[in-house]
Amino acid sequence: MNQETNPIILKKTVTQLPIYEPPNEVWSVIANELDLQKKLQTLPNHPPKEFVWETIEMNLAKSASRTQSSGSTQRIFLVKRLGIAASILFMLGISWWIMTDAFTQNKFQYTQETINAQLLVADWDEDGEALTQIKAICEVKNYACTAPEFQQLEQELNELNEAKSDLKQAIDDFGKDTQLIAKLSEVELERTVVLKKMIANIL
Amino acid sequence: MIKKYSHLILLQLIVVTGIIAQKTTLQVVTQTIQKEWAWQLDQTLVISGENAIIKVEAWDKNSIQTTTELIAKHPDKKIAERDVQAQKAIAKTTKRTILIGNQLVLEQGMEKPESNLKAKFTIYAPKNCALRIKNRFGSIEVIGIKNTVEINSQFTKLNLKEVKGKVELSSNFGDIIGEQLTGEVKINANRSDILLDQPSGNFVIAAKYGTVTILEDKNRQFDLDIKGKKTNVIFIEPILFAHNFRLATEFGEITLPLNTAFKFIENSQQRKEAILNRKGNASHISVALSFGDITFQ
Repeated sequence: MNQETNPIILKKTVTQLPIYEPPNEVWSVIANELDLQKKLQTLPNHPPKEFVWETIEMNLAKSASRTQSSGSTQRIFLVKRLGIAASILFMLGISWWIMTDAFTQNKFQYTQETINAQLLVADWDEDGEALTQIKAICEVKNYACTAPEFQQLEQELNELNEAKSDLKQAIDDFGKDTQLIAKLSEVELERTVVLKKMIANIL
Repeated sequence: MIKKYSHLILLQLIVVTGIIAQKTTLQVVTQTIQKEWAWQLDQTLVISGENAIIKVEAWDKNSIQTTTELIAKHPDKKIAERDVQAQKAIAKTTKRTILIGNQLVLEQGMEKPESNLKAKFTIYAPKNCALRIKNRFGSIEVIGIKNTVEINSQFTKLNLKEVKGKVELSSNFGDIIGEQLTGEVKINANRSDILLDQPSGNFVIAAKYGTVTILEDKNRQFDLDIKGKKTNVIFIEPILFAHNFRLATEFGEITLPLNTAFKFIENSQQRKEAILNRKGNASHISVALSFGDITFQ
């Protein structure tokens, strides 16, 4: 298949090109090479010794084993890495658990106190009888109970009753507390004084 | 010999056993919350307590630090743990106030607490921080604040040390101790004893059912006006030359120090009034009581 559009012109131009002769050294190098090829073909053939093949086989086996062991080493590395990662995760988990536990422990602190249980006994409603007696006397001696001095005492008693009621409510809300009970005792003492004055006033 | 003392030894054993048997161990569960706020000059520290032990102490920092301890005590640890959660700590700030407090809050389904519950506030505030405290049951201690201090309390012991400024105290069933109080001080006390140790400034006291004791320091001058009902007033080693006195009581006694220039201007069974006038810049002490005694010790 000739793709040249002007083959005549091309042929003419090519024929007009100058002709160069190669130097002699080129021909001598080519001749030497051809001579060597001929000599090699004339050399005798010798089969290799058995140990050569054995050595080759051994080398091949080693090479194969090395390739195989390289794969298992990679697997070992992968397992190790996974192990390390798992250990880190485990350690982090343990730390988190300890920290969480520590925070929980910090949330509440625990101590102990010893108290004499007798101090917490509720004995502050034992003057009901005195009040009943005063009321009973007042029904008979109405004039005594309407006197200003008695009414002043009654007002005082009401105030103390209110304080007592507040303290009892506090003990109900916040539990039995020695300070609250001490305050209640003070109020009770004052109430006792007032009650005695009231009784003395009407007798 | 052994037989002779055997009854005594037995009695002692019974007493000792009885004492040991009365002891109860309480499990104390405490929840601690700490906070610190930057403080602005016009911000008031407001504390609202219920059965709280409140301590406010001035420090040099420009911030307020609070340590709130919510405490539950019960022989059973689990009950104490459960009940401590019925107490809630309050902490809110606005432009003008920093509010701290505690409340007893029973959430739905929560059992009524069986433990002894208490809150404890330990607060450090700038000395120029104004204070407003309200508390029912417990105690309040204020140290070193030099600004307005307002306290309204019931069944609460008050103790103020080295407080200087405009001080207003209202106490019902709670004793008051003021050590080196300085400034404009107003006290309204009902069934509360008052002890003023080395006061300085201007003191106005209205007291019912209590004792007011004044223990002064010669280097600290003060004016005092006490109006009392069923209240006794005691002056301990007063610096007599430093004051003008006007002392009066209805249905009470006035016991004056010996060899002084006090003069009774009224001395009836029902009413007594004694005065002592000094020249110069002596301060004024005025006491007017009903059903109460005035005593110099």
